[in-house]
Amino acid sequence: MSYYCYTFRMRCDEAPEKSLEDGGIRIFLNTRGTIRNSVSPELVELLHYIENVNGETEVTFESGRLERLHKRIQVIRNSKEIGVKYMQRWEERLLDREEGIAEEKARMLLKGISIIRKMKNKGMDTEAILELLAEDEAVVLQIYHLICEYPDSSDETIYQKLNLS
Amino acid sequence: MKYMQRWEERLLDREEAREEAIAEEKARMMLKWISTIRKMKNKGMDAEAIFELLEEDEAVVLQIYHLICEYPDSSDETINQKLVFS
Repeated sequence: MSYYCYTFRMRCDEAPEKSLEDGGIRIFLNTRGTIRNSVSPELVELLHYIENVNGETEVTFESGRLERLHKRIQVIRNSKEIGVKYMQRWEERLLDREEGIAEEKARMLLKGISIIRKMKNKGMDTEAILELLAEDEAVVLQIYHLICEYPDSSDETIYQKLNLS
Repeated sequence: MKYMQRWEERLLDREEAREEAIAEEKARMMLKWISTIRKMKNKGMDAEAIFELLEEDEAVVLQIYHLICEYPDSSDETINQKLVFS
């Protein structure tokens, strides 16, 4: 047995009869509730709809608003245009993610160049460096040789000279 | 107005997606750091020498180093789970 709606207000631990009258209330709605308490029949119908809707079963409504909502959802579900928009948004998200990954990889590569330079300056050869770093062998070798070739170049310049295929 | 809303939404979505990807990439990198620190430790380098080379957050390097000392048989993934970030 559970309620359709749970309401939480800020109360004082030391004096439980005192509540913070700041207007802040948290409400949790439960789509699997059974006890109506003061919840309106329309909200109960909406919660049942959210719990059971799958777009396939025929549903009837008491509430006109809910019926309109259901029809709108059906239109959205069946709309090719909205499907395309969703896909566009999904693709945009994928591109944004790729941009974030590339940015982080570039930052780490710069750090890698600095680490390899320090290892080289400590007298380590490519074999010793490769043994320690969990990095792509071709990239480590390329960085190492670029540092040897342009010892006075900054990490950023070495990064720009890198040819990452 | 609608264009501005869409633009703002797009900006927020973009930031959210980028931050999510960066966090995932950082988590992946943390596993690499653990592997590297373990190898360096096994080569006889102490925490200070490792920190000097890796330029990573000192607290993180030390924590990884000590976790590897404490749980030498634990995998990199287990060490990663034991890490506490403040």
